[in-house]
Amino acid sequence: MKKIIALSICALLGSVVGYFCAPIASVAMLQSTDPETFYGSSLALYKNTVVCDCNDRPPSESLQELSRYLSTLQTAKAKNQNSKVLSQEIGLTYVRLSRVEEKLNHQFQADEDMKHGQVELASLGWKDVTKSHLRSLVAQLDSQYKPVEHSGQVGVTTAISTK
Amino acid sequence: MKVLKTLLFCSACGLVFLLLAVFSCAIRVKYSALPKLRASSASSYARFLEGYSFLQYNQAGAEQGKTALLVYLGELRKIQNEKIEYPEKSLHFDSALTYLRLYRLELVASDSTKAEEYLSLAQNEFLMLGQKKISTESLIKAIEKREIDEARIYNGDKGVMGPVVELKP
Repeated sequence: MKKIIALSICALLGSVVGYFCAPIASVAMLQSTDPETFYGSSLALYKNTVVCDCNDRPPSESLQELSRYLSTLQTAKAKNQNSKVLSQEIGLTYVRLSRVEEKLNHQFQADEDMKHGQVELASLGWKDVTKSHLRSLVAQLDSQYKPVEHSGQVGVTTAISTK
Repeated sequence: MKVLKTLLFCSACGLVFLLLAVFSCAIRVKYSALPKLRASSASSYARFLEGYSFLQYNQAGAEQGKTALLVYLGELRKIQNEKIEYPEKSLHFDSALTYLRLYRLELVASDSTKAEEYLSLAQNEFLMLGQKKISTESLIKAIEKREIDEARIYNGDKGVMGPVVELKP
């Protein structure tokens, strides 16, 4: 009887441990079977935290966050040199950094960052990489930036016109 | 002998623990954790690519725009083909919009056959949404209007850029 109880306890503990290990196992499985989606979504979530909160943070904190984000992007780019998605993100991050540097009155660094952003975006075939355009574009993008959501909105042609 | 029996019993307990752990983990991974993770990852990544493809389409040349839109469309198709959990309405709507943008780019490239093909694919996506068949004229007008709005928003006072400017009405 004691043995059966002991085995049952082991079975129960095993089930509980297995149940709680499942999320970790899922992450490992996704990482190995679909690395593009896994790393892409991780980057998207990271961007979400950096860009989304940028507007409310003090510039010095934004600067740190954006610098860390840029460094992550550059590390990823070193491994995927042909990635245009990463190039665009790097370019836009430089422009964001430049805006923050300007707020902190670091004009020289702001100009340097803007130049890096312009070079990166021009290499992607962007037609207008003037400072004023990039600044207003990024301001526009950041003002609309929202966490990932699925409203499932549809509405045929009116939706195409207004989404 | 008693020590051996105890050792054997402990091994049996360990084996039962491991087997049940693997079993419950596998069941949860297969039916719950992995599909949910796949769905949320696909959703985040698709939104990320949506932003990238839109900016390439709106800010760069026709070729770069087309390449980016096809990358995004590839991800949407993958979600569809692998039956990854994703809001169906968003999936069809986003696919339709991407086809319409590709239609505009093919018009710029003067490839009317490809353009028509994309237009009809966009129509199909709307049909899959359960909408009545929308005329091609309405779709063309709607995407033109949307592009003008987007050009105004993202390109400021300079007016229309991107493929629209190269289209002769």
